[in-house]
Amino acid sequence: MGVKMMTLRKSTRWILFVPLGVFLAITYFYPMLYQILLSFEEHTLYTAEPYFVGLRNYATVLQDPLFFTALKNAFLWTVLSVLFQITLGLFAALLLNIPRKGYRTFRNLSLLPFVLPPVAIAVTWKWLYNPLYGLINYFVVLLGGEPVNFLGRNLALYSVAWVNIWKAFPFYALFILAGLQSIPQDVYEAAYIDGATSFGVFRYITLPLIRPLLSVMALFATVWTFNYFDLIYSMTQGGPGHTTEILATLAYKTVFLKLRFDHAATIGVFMFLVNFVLSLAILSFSRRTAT
Amino acid sequence: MRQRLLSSVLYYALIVLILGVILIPIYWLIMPSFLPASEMFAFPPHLVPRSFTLKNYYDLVVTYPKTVTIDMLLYLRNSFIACGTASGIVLVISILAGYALARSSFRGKEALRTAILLTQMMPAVLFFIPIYLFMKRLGLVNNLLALILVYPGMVAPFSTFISEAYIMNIPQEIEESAILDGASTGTILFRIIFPLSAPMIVAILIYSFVWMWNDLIISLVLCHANEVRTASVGLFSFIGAATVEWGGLLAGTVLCILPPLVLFAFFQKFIIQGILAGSLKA
Repeated sequence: MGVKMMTLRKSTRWILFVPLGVFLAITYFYPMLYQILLSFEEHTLYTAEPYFVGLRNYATVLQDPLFFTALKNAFLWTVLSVLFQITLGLFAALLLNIPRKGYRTFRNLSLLPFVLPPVAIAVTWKWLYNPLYGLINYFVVLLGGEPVNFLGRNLALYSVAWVNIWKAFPFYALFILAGLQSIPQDVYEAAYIDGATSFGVFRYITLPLIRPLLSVMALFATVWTFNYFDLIYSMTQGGPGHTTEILATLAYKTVFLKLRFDHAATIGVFMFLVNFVLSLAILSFSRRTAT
Repeated sequence: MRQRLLSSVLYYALIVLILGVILIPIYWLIMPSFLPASEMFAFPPHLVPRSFTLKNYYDLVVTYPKTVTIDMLLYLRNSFIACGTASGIVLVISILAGYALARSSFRGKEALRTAILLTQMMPAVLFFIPIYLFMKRLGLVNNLLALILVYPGMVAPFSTFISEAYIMNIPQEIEESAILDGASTGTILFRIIFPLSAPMIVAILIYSFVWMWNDLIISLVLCHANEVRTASVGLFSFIGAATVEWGGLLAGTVLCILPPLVLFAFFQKFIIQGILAGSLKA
């Protein structure tokens, strides 16, 4: 750095950290430990005095077919969402990187779906998907099709995944666009002089240069989507027939319908492990690309 | 020349398509909320409205609280109280910690930053069960105070990094001369750092407020009784009702998106710059 850093007195420094520490303890540190404890206890709404049961909750949760349904759904929901969020985002960003008008308009509107409350987005799309008077089915009928029940058993997971894609792809486009614009122009010019095609330039110059950015975004998107309770619960509550149940909604129902805090906490521990691994991957990945 | 025109047409067609995909759903939420029921459910739907009414909003504000005990204005007020107070707390705790990070170097600083970063990556939904039991023991379930206690920790890590980065860019000379004049750390924070950090303060407040406003899981778990519902939970219970009153529901949704929308419209340039600057740095 070169510049000498002003240093606070040790006591002052720690006093300044205390308020943050207290709130992080309420939200993260205490719940994290308590959750692990809960997963080894018998603890329901009716348990007077919780007691230690070893690994019994883990055995129960792992024998529940619903857990695996939720795991499979969570996996499909995450892969679909992230894949299309990034792909559509990349497509939009490439389009907007061509220096013409329209860029500013897009930039100004692109974050709109992202800042709206998930519940409001759920209402909007339930209204659009409505089989009786929804706008989308109007176009389906107009094109000669039969009205589609988008939130029925067969399609619900895909329909909700699309809403998640719709919500986030403009947000990712904005980031990718920033990445694209940091590539120096002369790289492209040299390639075109050498007779490269547009696709060749994209494949061999643009894509390798923005790949680290895409990977970090994909990891973040994976963490966010895997746990994304709010949207999926306000659209379908995990239904119909558990077809959109993910681990987060299953844990919620285990608490508030079955009143089993212990089983829900065990599901929570599984979710935590998945998140922890993904977070470490993000950290090590961004360290590696930064150096 | 013709090829150029063609590619230009194609380009704008694609841009219009993308913008249409983003905006039509939002149009289709806001526009029908001003339609009378007869036109709202017209089939084929009227893409351009032929009439205008505020009846849905009147029902929402006046009729529903009396007939079905759904009181959207109360829910909005609850959200404002909880999110506003908690955002204020976030501001204070993240500036204090951000200042300490920016103005000191010590062993274990990187470890501390990594720990804060890791909590930032853990979403709220992971811990709602222990948080619920904890608040239940404190007797704070169905009390807005629970949200005010739980929200700040979820937003503060990110805000701490914002304020650290911002304070790093404030020249130290001013503080150094203040210290020579015998100023305490508190005086420096209130007299020097706060006044110089207006853009950062606005950014932290907006980010926190919108994050909390949009939350469903935590408020659903901690405040589900009718009189303490937040806007998101209120809307959610509306959807869950046996028969959906689309008129009132759409009007309520429009009111619920209004605060983030207004904040975003006014400070948008700022938010986008902040996000992009942060991302390029990380």
